[in-house]
Order: sequence, then structure tokens, then C-alpha cells
Amino acid sequence: MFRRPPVAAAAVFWLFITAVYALQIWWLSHLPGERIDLRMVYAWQTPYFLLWFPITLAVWRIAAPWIPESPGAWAAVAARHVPLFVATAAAHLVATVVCVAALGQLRGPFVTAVLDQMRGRLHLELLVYTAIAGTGAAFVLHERFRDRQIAAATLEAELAAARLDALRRQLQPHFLFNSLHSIASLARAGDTAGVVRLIAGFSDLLRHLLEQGDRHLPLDEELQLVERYLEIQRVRFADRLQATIDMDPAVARARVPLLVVQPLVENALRHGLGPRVEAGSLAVRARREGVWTRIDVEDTGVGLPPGWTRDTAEGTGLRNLASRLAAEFGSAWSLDVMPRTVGGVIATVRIPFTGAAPSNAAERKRA
Amino acid sequence: MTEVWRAVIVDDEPPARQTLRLLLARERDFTLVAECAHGREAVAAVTAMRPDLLLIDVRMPGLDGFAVLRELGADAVPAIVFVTAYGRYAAQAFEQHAIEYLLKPFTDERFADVVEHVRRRLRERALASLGEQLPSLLAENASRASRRQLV
Repeated sequence: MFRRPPVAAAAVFWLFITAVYALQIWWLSHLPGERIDLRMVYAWQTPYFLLWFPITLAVWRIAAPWIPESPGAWAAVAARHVPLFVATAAAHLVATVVCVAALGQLRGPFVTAVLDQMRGRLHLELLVYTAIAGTGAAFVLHERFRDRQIAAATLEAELAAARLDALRRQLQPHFLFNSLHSIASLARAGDTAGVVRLIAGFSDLLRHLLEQGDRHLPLDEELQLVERYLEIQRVRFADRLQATIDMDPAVARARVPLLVVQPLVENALRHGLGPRVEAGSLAVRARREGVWTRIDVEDTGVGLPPGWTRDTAEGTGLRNLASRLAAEFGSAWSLDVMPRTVGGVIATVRIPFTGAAPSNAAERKRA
Repeated sequence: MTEVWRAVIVDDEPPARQTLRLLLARERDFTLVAECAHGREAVAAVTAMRPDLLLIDVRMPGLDGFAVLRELGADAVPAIVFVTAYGRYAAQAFEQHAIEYLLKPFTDERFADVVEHVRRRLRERALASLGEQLPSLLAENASRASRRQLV
């Protein structure tokens, strides 16, 4: 949690304080009328300040995991600091007296010296301890802030990569020109309504990928996008492709990451059904499964090559989806791509179910 | 010339086949003898029908367009036209003795130009083969004439 404690900075800081204080004493001892035993004062002050250095590191290390993730839990943190303060102050003062004794400057009994220190310096102990605990918390929060920024930037970059990937696939000659050719064939056959429907669908598809909008959308909007894509493919492959989308209304407004279903559908068509001569079918199902939103994309295609794994797969679609899910949900997600017992592949995504998402379409209308 | 050329079209996408069928129907001297949805079907159809013109897609499931030609042999079809969404296969197509390369989507005019090119090529071939046959035809005529004289 606290990966890079500034050890060197802490050491320099305490050496500097020690030196400044020594200089002050030296100056003081030169005032007329002052009779200061420099040896004794230095024997007390030098260990006193230098011993703060290891204590600083110890307090930082011990208290770092206490910093709460959310604001509002600070009273509990303060309560945990009380015993730590008592322990560190006692250790600090005892160690100081031990050092003084070792330097041969201890006059009087050991216990009396420790009690004297407490009487004289407890307020100072509290001030210094608070400063140490405060800087420790600042370092932890700063580190956490930077981690969040990096995670957010990573997520943004991966979504951009996913968009670009989807866009590239849709602008590939195989999809783009064959789709346009299909539209031309509808025009030649006089089906003007079909032409308009496909052009509008294709435009929707591209617009969605070109827009730099929100990273999330309601599941039914993602599935509408998939339907646009399937509509084009159904015209291209006619009786060779049976494609259905079946969505439980309970998950219609569930908030999902953009392009969470589309890459799976494209994979099923490209790698599953594409290489097959015979007719095949594709089914997209979305439903609630306890705390999860579960989406299955099932095809009756050629299946997975032997030895296939998600991490060694050739395309980047699945790996990108997996790393986007990891960046967004930590470990609370799954993406399984399994062969079906009767041939073909079933890909299953599970992500945490989150309630109604604002509609992108509604936002666009307002804009 | 009253000759009718026989054509086979091969594409895995039904609308693409429909387009070729529709446009070919406008050409009075061509007749469609087979429509295939994939490479295997194409090999069987060409072997059975011996067409003059093959309009064939490159990317298809199973056997692709080039594999079909490899299986049929170089001289199985007099006129080969590739119909594809990819420009990058052109060089390979002409190596495989294609006479035209149609990029999807194409206009009606472009298709008519391609058919005209095919028509010229088929006529040239017909004339050439007639030229090759001429000596033997003449010889046959001569022997027939001499036989007649004998009778």
C-alpha cells in the first residue's frame, strides 16, 4: 500500500533538525553570562532528534494500511493512533535515556531521568508524532491518487483501443465492401426500404464507434448495436445465418461497459460461423444471475482450435475485453470461452449487476 | 454471331449471387448454368458443366477462389473473372489467368464492360481454335471430295 516511503528524505530531515538545534545551543552558549555544559546538552539533544528517524519509518509503515478508502472513517483511525502514540513516545524517551547513559552523561537514576523527560517533553512528543502520522497519510493518499489516475488512464486507453479495433474490423474490406455490395444488391432488386434500413444501421454502428462519449451504456443499447450489426450480416448470409438476441427485461437498463457484447458476437461470426459452409446459428442471451449480469454468446460454428486459450488467442478482441473488465471491476468479473458439447462455442461474460444507467440516446437527444 | 456462352457464378453471399444473376441476365449471349455458394460446389459444377465463363469470389468458407482454380487446373475454364471485396488479390488473380477483376461493390456499367471484355476474349479463342481446326477440316473436306469423285 505504501510502496515508496521517502526514507532518504526522512533521514535528511532529522539530520537537519539535529544540526539546527545544535547550532542554536552553540549560539546560546556564547551569550554573555550563559554557562552551558555543551557536552551534556549535545549528549541529550542529538539522540533525542536522531531517534525520531527510525520512529518515523516505523509509524509510517504501521499506520499506512489504516488510511480509509472512503472519507468519514477518520475517528476510527485516530483511535488506532492513540496506543501507537503511547508506545512510540515511551520507546523514544527510553531509548534517548539509554543513549545518554551510554555516552556517560546520565546523572541520577535511570527511571527518574525517563520520568523527567516525560514531564518536560510529552507535548513535544505529541506534536512530532502528529506531524509524522500526517505526512504518512499524505504520502499514502498521494500514492493512491496517482494509482487511480493511472488506472483511469489505462481504462481510457484500452477503451480507445477497443473502439479502434472494432472500427478497424468494421472498415475491413471483407465487412465494409461486402456490406455495401449487399446494400447495392437490395437497391438493384428494388428493395428501397431495405436499402435505407441497412444504411441507417451501418451509420449507427460507425457513429457509435467514432463517438468519444461515455464509457458506459445501458445493456439494451449495447444490444441494439449488436442487432444493427446482425441485421447487415443476416442480409449478407441470408439463410446461412440464424441469429437471435434474447434479453431479460430485468437487465435492460443494467449499466455495462461499452463494447462488452459486440466483440464476442463478431468473434462468433468471424471465427465460428464464417469458416463453415453449412448454415449456423448464433444466440445472444442476457439475464440477471444473483449479483451478476450474465451475457452468453453461443454459436454452432467450427469450435475452438486445439490448445486454444484466451491469452494466447491471435486476435486482440478478447484480450482487450478481459483487460478492460479487469481495470474496471478488479476481480469481480469473468469471461469464459468454452466449447459446447454439441459443437460450436459459448462465450460467457459476468459483470456486477448495477441498476439503471442514464440513457446515452436520451442525452444525445437533449444535446 | 448467335453463339450463347455458358456461365457459372460462385459467391458465399446470396445477395452477391443475386446481383451477378441479375446483371448477367441482361446479357443476351450469356446463360447461367450453375450458381454455387462455396468452393466445393464450384469444383463440382465446373467439372460437370464445362462453362465458358466463371465469375468467382476469392474469400469463401472451405475452399477459397484460388484453391478452386488450383483444383480445376489452369485451362478448365476459358474466361475467369474474380469478384471480390479486396484489391490486394489482383496480382495473384492475373497470375491465375483471370482476365478481369471486379471489385465489390461495382456499377452496372463496370459489369457490362467486364462482360464485353470477356465476350471479345471468348470470340478470339473460338476463332483461334477454329484456325487450329482449319487444316484438318480442309483435309477432311478434301478427302470427302475425293471420295465423292471415286463414287
